[in-house]
Amino acid sequence: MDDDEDFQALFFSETRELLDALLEHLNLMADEAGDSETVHAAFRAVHSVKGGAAAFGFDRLIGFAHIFETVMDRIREDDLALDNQLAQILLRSGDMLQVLAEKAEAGEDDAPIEGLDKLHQELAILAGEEPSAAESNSAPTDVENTPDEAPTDTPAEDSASTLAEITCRITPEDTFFESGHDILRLVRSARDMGLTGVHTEGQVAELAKFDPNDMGLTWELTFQTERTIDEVEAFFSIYAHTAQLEFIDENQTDEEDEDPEPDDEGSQGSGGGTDPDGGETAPDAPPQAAAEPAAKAADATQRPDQGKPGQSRPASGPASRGGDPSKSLRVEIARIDRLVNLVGEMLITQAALAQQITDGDENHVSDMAHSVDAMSRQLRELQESVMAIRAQPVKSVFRRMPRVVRDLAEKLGKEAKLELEGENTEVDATVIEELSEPLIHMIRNSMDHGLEDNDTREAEGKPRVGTIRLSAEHRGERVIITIVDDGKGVNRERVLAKAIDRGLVSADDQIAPEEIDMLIFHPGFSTAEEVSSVSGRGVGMDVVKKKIVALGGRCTLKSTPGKGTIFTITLPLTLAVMDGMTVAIGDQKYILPLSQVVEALNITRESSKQLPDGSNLLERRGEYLRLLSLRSALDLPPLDSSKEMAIVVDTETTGHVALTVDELIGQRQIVLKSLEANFRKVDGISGATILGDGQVALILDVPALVRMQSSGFSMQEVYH
Amino acid sequence: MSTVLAVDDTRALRAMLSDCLKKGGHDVILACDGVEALDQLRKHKPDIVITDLNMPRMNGLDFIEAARREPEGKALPMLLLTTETAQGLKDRAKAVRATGWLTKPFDPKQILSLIEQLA
Amino acid sequence: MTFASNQTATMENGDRDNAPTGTDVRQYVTFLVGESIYGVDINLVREIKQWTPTTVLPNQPSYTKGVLNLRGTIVPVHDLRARFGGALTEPTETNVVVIVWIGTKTVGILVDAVSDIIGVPSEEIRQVPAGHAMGDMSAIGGLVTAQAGMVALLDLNTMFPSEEETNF
Repeated sequence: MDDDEDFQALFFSETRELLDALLEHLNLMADEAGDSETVHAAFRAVHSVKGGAAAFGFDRLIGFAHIFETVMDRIREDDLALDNQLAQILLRSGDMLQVLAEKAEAGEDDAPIEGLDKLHQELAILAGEEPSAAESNSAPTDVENTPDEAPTDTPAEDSASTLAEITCRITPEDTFFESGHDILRLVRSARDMGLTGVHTEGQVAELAKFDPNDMGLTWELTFQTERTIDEVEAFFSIYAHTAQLEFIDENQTDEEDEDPEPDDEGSQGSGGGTDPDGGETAPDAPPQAAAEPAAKAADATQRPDQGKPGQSRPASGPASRGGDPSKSLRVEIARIDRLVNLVGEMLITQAALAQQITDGDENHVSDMAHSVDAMSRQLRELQESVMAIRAQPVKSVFRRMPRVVRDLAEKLGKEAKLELEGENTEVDATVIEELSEPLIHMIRNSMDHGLEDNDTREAEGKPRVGTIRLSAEHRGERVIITIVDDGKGVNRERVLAKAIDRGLVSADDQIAPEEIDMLIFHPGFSTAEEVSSVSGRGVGMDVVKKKIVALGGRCTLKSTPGKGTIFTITLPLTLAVMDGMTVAIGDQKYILPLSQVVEALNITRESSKQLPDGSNLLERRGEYLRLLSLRSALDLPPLDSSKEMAIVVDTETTGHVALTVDELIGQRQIVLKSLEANFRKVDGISGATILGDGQVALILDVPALVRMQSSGFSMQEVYH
Repeated sequence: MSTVLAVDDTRALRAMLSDCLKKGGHDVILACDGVEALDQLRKHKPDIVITDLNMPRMNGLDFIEAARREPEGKALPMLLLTTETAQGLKDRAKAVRATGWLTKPFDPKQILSLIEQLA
Repeated sequence: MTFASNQTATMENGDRDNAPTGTDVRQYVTFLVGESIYGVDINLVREIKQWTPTTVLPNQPSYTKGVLNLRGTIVPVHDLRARFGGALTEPTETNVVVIVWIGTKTVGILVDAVSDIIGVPSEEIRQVPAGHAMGDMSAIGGLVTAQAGMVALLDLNTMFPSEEETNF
């Protein structure tokens, strides 16, 4: 099937979600915070993964999910007590399931996985299966049956020579009709199989008086058909659930007869669900094999067992797709509905407006104003709704972190607890995708450099197990994500020594403790020398910062020696909307991203200085900042303005710089528009927005502007 | 051509079932659990139901049991399609008047011919 | 602007059958810049707007007047007079911006006024004589004589190539 790949992609993306949820439940269980519903949900997640895997024949995944499921089932049934040790095994199994799914997705269903066999064994023991016995267990259904004896008056309607003559006796149980079967439909369908005769035994009710509950009939259907008995049996197998079946292949040796039920059995039906012959119903096999119970005669011809996973479908090849195939978004239906409704409303308003314009007389002006008002409101709501569609809870990223912590705990030999908070906080979908890597990085950093090892902690009177708390919350139009650890804080001496060593600061500099902390975000700070196997993957915290800034966010850190460290990431809710500070230069207005604005200062004669090369400096609380004229940076005609102001911005790469503007107009939220859509990239401009009066205002790319102005100006930005 | 209600909490399986059924020329209604399935049953009056067993909110057995009480579900063929093989569950399936028991992975041909046969 | 909407009506009714039959007749919107008349294929004209002040872009050729807001999208505006080597236009409310399609992009052209819509049979289009001295004539795709005088038909793609080059 061509679509197999698509279904597989769907399966894997769903499996990721299921496993995320599974780990969440398992974590709750490990924290003894779960209830029976948690266990149940975890069970269901494993089960669903198994079911999906079965559809695609990922055998190793199925096998592991199966044994895992069995263990979960025993916990669910209180057969197994959930203690810490078991909880840890479950968590590891959850991780393993993720690994298996990843391997399957990568088309490496056979690639060896470290620890898989061992974990499988552990689970098998917990499942109460002898590891060896597990195999024989794979065929759980038996075909054994009580051979009953009954007279077969095989009515042999004269066999056409080449056609096999097969007879099926079907005796509906009293639930047959209530279970949605219809004997007339059966007979009709059977015609296609080459049905040549129908006999009934027992009381024949008139069709008009036919009562579904009036059982006691055995139907004997005779086929003269090119089909094999297997095919005929396959046709009937679905009825085996609620009827006794018996097959007689006339071309085979005559078999003993049987009559599973006395004719009068259940003739009154007595309706109820009780099985009149509970013992005889016999162990049900999978449907394909289910015809056997009463069909001694057919035992000789065994149908291929389709019950085994992966056998009946053409084994679909390994999914050979890399990366995340799904750029799709799952959206609550309610949000879509709201959009649909709004669009509907707008169409109505638009129609009204069109009508009013056609009518064209002046009395309609107020109506039109009304409609325009309505439309403006609808548009605003539409915009909000569209934004809301892109909003997704951070949960999907947060849930990956416990595994990160567990892995690290093992590698570092440090026990640590991860607390998650505010997982339902919503952020723009693009942001969520990009958030994972920086978060993993920061958590690594906290695990590796923040938390002390368990013994040290104990010796210092701290709880033996360190805690990392990852939380998210909305604050105004922004999302704040914090990573708090209760470790030892930034080792300022070491950081400073390293920074001096790297030439980032000079040994003579007086650097405030907070500034030392921030040095870890400096691009020059953590280099390859940082070769702890955990944090040191050749990237440092500067990468984290870069990533966050690229998302329009900010990244800060606060550390208290001996107490711990707080990383704070501030992000805009959506990427298309940002907070900006509007400034004016002449008659033009510009937007500075608020995330880059540090403060606004008045420029006084005393505070502005000039260097011999003509470049300007601004004194701020005892330090000097570069003072750049936005007017000249933006190629605007020079103008003597006495009321210039300085906006201090953080350029990320070159620290704080002061920009002169004519006027500070204020903060506002702006919707980003592209210049490139109809024009091209303009240096120093990151985009544009439309102001309330319909004018276009450019959004300044501050770091680029500063770079453009500083060709030939390569000194450090802060002069102490 | 029949209207088939396919119920499964696994999106991938829903999609596969739906695809298989549509290729067989049937109209397909989907539901992701028993609660939704009941709702769909009342709304769309399908000719046949194929349902998973383990599902959140309402499992396949409870769904069938409930559906049998609905006028739309009284005589409706309702097949269970599951990875389960436990006898106890099959007994329950019988007790709630499930039409038949199929094991996953499903065989598209088998599903289609069963629909021909039952619906 | 009534002028523009009248023109729109004309454009829509613009009737090819009036022109000599049997030849390929194309409709052009003509507009005035000083004494000159320019024409643009009507299919490429999106709308005609009264001039409104634009937002200045830094570090651009002088003929780029900046950008304007066209119902939520940002559209650059170029001064046609300056583009052909003339003086920069000091636009007032009487000036007009012709919004045109160039490939997938929408661009505004600042002119003095829109003048007419003319049907031009393809065989009446004359080549620009070689060796013409004034300005950059490669942006003129051809010349045609109308009632009002000679019309220079603009080849938009070569006129503002930068719009085309990027983003592809």
